[in-house]
Amino acid sequence: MAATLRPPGAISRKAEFVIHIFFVLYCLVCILPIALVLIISFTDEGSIMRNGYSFFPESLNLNAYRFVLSDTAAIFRSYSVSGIVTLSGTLFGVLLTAAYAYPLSRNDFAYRKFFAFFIAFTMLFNGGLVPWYILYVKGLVIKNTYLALILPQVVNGFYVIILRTFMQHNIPKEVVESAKLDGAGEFRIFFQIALRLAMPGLATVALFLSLSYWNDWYNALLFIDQKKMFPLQYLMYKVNASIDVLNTSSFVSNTADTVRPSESARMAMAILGIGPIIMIYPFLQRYLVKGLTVGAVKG
Amino acid sequence: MKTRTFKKPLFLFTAFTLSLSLLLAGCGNNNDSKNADSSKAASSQAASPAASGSASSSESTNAVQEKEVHLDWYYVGNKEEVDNQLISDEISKYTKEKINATVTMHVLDWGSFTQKVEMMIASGEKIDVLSTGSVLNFPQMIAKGSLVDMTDLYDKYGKDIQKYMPDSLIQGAKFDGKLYGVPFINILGSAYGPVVRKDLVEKAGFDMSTIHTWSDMTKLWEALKQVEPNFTVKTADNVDFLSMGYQILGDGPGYLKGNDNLKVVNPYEDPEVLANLKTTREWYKAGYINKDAAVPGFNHTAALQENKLHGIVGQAKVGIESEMSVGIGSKYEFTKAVLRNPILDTYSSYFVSTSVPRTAEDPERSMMFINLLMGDEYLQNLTNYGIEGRNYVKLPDGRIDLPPGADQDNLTYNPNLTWEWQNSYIQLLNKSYPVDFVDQLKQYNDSSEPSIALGFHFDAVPVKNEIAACANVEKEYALGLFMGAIDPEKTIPGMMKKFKAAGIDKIIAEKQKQLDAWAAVNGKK
Amino acid sequence: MVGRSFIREIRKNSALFALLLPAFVIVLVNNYIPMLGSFIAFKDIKYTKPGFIQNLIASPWVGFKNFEFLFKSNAAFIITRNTILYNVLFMVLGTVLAVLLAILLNEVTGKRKAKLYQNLTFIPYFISYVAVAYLVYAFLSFNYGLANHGILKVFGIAEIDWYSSKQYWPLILTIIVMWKWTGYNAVVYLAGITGINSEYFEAAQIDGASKMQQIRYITLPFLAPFIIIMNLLALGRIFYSDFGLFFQTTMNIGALYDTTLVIDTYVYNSLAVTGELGMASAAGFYQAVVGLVLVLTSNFVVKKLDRDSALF
Repeated sequence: MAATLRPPGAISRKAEFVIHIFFVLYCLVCILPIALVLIISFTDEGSIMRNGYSFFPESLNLNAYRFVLSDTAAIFRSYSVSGIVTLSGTLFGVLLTAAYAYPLSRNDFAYRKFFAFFIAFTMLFNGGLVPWYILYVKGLVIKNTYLALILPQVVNGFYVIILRTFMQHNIPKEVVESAKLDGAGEFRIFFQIALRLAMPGLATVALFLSLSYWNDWYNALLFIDQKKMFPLQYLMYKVNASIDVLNTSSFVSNTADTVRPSESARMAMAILGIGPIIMIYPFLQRYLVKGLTVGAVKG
Repeated sequence: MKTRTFKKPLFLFTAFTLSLSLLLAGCGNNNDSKNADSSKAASSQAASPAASGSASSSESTNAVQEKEVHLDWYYVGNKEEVDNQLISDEISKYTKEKINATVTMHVLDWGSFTQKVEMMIASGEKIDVLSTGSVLNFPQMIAKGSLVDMTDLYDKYGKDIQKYMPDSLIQGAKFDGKLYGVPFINILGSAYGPVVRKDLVEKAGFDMSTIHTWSDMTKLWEALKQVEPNFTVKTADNVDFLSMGYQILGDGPGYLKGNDNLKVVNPYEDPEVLANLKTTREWYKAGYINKDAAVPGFNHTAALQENKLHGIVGQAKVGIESEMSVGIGSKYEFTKAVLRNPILDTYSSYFVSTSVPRTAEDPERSMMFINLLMGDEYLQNLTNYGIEGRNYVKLPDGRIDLPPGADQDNLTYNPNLTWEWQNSYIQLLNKSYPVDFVDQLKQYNDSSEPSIALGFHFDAVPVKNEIAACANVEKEYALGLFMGAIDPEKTIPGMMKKFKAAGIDKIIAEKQKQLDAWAAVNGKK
Repeated sequence: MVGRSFIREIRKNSALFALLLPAFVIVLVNNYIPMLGSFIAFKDIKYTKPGFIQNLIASPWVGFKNFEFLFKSNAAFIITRNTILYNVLFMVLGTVLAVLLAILLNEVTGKRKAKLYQNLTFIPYFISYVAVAYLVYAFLSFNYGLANHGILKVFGIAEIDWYSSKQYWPLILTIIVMWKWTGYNAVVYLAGITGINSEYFEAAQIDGASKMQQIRYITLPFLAPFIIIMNLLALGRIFYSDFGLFFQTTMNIGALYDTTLVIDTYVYNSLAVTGELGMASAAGFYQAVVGLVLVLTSNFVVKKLDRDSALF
């Protein structure tokens, strides 16, 4: 009976064992460096200087976090800004992407080549930073708004093309045809059939979008001046920049009484930046797996 | 059929884009022309003779300014301080009364300062007062017309600064007789040489006054290695040319050697430099040079504190020993030798400046604020140290210290930017400085020699492509050569080939041409 | 005539156009309007007028002068070679590894284990290049690094001064890229694999096809469009490189330039000195045009081979 628990068509036990070994090793390669980052973030700066980075440091302390978290209120505010931007950006992004990708996937849509080129072209060519900046600041007047953080990434040509391809292969023409014969309108077909069939693709796009929103600091650098609107990654970037200066400024500070943690502080920031998303990722990924499975079962 | 369906929408789409962009261009123009009007009004105001004549300019201008102005002041800093808003309010309280203006401080971080400022100015966003000089590409900003000509404004409204400003400094900072930034009042040019651990030097019984040239340092390293087996030192990079007696002459390659001739040279072709680099190579082989120091972001402060690094060759200006000692929590003391005495060259005269960009709302009022910032004792110290009692306390001898109970981690205002709009003669001294620091500074400045080419500004535009190309060649080799990590005799010929291909000769010829023209006009030989 | 057919199409497929419209407008505003400003690359920008657009119009044309620094000196050859070779290497190796990983992940039978593996292999993606740079430094630092002290010393091999030995860096950079991106890229391919109708596999099993045969004849053909698209896009960006990788992890050390300098870092170094808007735009313009030509060409080829897999 135990043997029949194995799904039909599964690979042999020996092969499976090899695969497991491979993954265990590969996963170690992936997480050991993170473990090192985590350990360094708690390592005493002096001990880094004396012995270098180590998995087994001489002495541990919380100085790096004390330095990085010196302004707790700001950190919490930034988490919420990042959260709002990531959630709303991902939601709108997925909807817009799907709505654009779906017509492109339809063979009976005559201008699909043009619209595909229209979107793909943006991945290859852009007008450069300055005209774009001026459009946002002077044309749309969205400096210091959430829109300035959401708009730049909300429609990404790459995701549109990926989703289009996915839809081409997973929304059978016959399904659309028969729905039409049953009297369903295009909108209903899109929302009730296409989106459902494209779930794995949507989940993938949602994952990529949420990551790129979460990790974005550059748009904040350009468009956000007000501290209460700083997303987390930008706040991190600023602390990082100030560490660089403490290290390399030729105008050596004249009131500093202590050496600030710099190596460990950098690592502490990396941990604070990736921490939440690593916590959320398994949930996101469960959704992803669910989406994938739905897709697989439906076929 | 396919191609046809393709073209028509393309045309439609282009037309649509164009009309949309015209629309946006239209609203952009509106905003900009508003700015233009106000700046025009401001400059016509500046041109009209203002009533002045009383002793203190800040009082005289008070009467003229009826309309209240808000000033946005942008500077580069390490981080936003908790008390920034509070300090802005305090400044505004003071400036409201003095010049009828309120002020907001905007601190931009180092990593994005250039880019942000450039885009703000390009798009016409309002900046009233701005830190310039070496923190931005100052000559290029002037060439592009990004900054307001402050010559008359400074004469008229800079009365309080003028009391302290050395004449050679303000003359050197002028571009073709026009002033685009008020230089900081501190050192007149920098000295260069080694700064090393005092305790080791004393233990070795070494006499620092015996060091005058690059190769003299060999015996210093030998002596220090005797008393500290782990001894290492950090050499800079092409800054070391200055230690070897060269002067910078604007952007890109091409230096002056010494201070008595106007011949533009490439130091890499100088046999003396080659000899020095060979010496450095020997230091590297003997283990005197810290090998990790080659990695940018090398934390030399921590290395000094942890006894991993024991000296730095580079700037040796007045007070550098205190600065370095304070930087590592006063764990060790330092002593220095001077290889090159301070020379006030053009670069040093403008390298920390405060300017008025073209997007300023009211350049007159901006200048009045700069005048208070750098000429008024209260405002100079308020902006540098915060509020007395809250952010710092005065010691009986007049120097200042942290308020009781405060340490690095809970300071609410500690920008550490005392150099940025500095006037050393009215700025309070931190307790780590000697009480007589101002006298030492005066002495140092008296020993400073004006450069033979002081006031010459190299216009890099004709050779900007060559300079950009040479920058990569320099970066590939300079650090390795000055650390001694690579053999100069083997490397330099190949490097010179790359420099030539990148157009170094054209840069040097252009510099020489401009310098000769300048010398002819200014009656130098 | 053509206009009429366009209008007819709008009438026929009005709902599809309505779906397209929101994203279309956003892309138009966000991406296309700024393109009109890209002729800044051919101008010597001066601020004589109040507004940017007036300044752009009033500034003198300088032709291709802003592009010259890209081709000055013999660096042009090195940076072009490095940029292209690295990108091709990353494309080929990256695709092979990511597809392999996706296939293996799909074969893992335990649901929970599969999830765990996917989570863990994805993790490197989260680490910013700043942190990666310090991790690499932790391994390669001369005095403290694990490579010198943990490995070489133990085996009695002489220590290596990694940060001034350019010959090792192609390997180091490749390892970093594969480590960081394989888990991420595999997600796309995994989505592709799970999208395959399971009936195909069942039918294949009934016919007695081995696992390898199934992968060869079902999985890979289904993944082909994804593979082609991902690589077509990568091809368009072949003249761009991962700035963080080449700038941060090499710490922009000059001694390594022979094997690590790419177009992006070259431009960055050049502009750090001159800081010219026109020159920065010129570099971007050059990269975009070359990328466009490459993509159009290869799209043309793909279209000839397999109509459906073409980008457009």
